[in-house]
Amino acid sequence: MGVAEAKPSPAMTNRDFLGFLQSDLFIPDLRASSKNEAIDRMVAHLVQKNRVRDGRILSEALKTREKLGSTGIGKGVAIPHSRSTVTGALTLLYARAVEGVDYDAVDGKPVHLFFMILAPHQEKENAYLPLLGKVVEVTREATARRRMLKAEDLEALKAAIEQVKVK
Amino acid sequence: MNPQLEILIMLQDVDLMIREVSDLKTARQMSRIGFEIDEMDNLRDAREELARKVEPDLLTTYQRLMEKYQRAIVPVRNNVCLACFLKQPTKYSVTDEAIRWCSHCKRILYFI
Repeated sequence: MGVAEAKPSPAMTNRDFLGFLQSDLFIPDLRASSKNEAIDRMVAHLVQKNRVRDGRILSEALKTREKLGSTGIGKGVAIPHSRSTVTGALTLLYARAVEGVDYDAVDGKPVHLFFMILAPHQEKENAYLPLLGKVVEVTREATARRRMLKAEDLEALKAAIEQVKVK
Repeated sequence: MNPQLEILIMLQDVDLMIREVSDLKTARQMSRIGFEIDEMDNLRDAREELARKVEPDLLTTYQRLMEKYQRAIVPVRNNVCLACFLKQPTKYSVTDEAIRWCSHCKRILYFI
């Protein structure tokens, strides 16, 4: 199922979603030549920002998840996600790839917008799946995706998301 | 980090991923969101590849703990095991090269 057909998540508000977006988890211009390199670079960013200690374990979990089917959901969007023992809290990393990354997406097109979602195996709020659903929802409209791709910083990204009409 | 612990954590992540996507309710939710689970065999292959790299005694202990507790390796924060919430000996630390077991519930510890 592609972005356009996916159902919205009823469980997460825009406000809750915006709370997950943090300035240290914003990569303004991700450059990578493959899916694995893109994952490694995003994980390296998390390690550099002290969000995760053991990046190799996290990269392995994310790459293994990709073996179930690509998280490149089409229309230039990818949502790499996994639970891992090394993740302390539900975390959302955003990366914009201006040139696009060959990510083996379901539609074969390059990916420009990455929303990486990480969660511990046990989380009190149980917000992992609602967060996944919310990302699909806010990236459904072409106008919203264009605005996000233009956003060079966190505030501009938040403004783009705030304009998304929730059905 | 102890190389065997690193592989063991990767193995646990895959085992719990298999368990999660095998759960019908979760699979339905994932499908509703837009993610179909297509290639379970790939996950099982990845699991077997990791399991082969673990020393046999350690693998047996891990599997026994997984059966008993659902999770064999648990996070530790501020020297507290986040599974049984009991304090660990002060000599345990994040820089330990040795694999540490919770002194109370006996699960394997990962210092987060």
